[in-house]
Amino acid sequence: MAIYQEVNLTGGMDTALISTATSVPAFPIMILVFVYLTILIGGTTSQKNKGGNADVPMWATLAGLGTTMVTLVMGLGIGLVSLGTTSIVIAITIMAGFWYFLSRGRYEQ
Amino acid sequence: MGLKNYIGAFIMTALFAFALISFAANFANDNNSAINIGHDSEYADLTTNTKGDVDTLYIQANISATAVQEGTISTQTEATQGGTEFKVGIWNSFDMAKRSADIAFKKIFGGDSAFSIFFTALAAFISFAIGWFIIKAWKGNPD
Repeated sequence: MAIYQEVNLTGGMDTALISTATSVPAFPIMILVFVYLTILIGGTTSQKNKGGNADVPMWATLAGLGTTMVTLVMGLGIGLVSLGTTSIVIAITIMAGFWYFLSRGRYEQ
Repeated sequence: MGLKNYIGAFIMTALFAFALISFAANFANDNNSAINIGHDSEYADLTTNTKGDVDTLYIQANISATAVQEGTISTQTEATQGGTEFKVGIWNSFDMAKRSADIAFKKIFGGDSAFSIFFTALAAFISFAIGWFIIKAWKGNPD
């Protein structure tokens, strides 16, 4: 017995994504986590290599905004993500924004 | 961090939350999305409450600005009586700038309250920050 139903790869990228999401409901959430962590870790690492310091709150907010955009696009059509997932992504972005605004010091821009 | 920084952080967070939720809901509406966060009653409540908070902030900032404008302080070691140097023409300049910006904003966004809430909150916060700087220059460091 297969772990999950075999994905239809002959109908193009959209069909493959939908088939995978139908077989494994966690797939869209994993994509969102991947996008968030890629922006967050990539951004902070790159900034740290260039300037010595990483602005983690800023990158967390940017990662949240990027993930929100991906989530909204994935909500189009049949909707690969649920309303709960969208709400959680937006809530995380708002939290990251709160952290970002609180982290701005008096002499920072 | 001083009081101004904290208040600024909270106001910016409220505006950020309002903008993000509005964008998500309008994006879903415009594109006939299957997943529409605007259909979530709790987020609709959050948007309404945030709007109410910003409205209240605007009223309170106006009251504070009027109090600064009309306030006096007795002569002290390092303070000037009356603080008239901060009152000569500056409030008329504020009104003029506010009306000019109001016209520009209405022409750009059509006077929709969903957009004007940003201008209202930002103008209120800037007024508060200016008032705070005046108090700081006049009386000393209030922090």
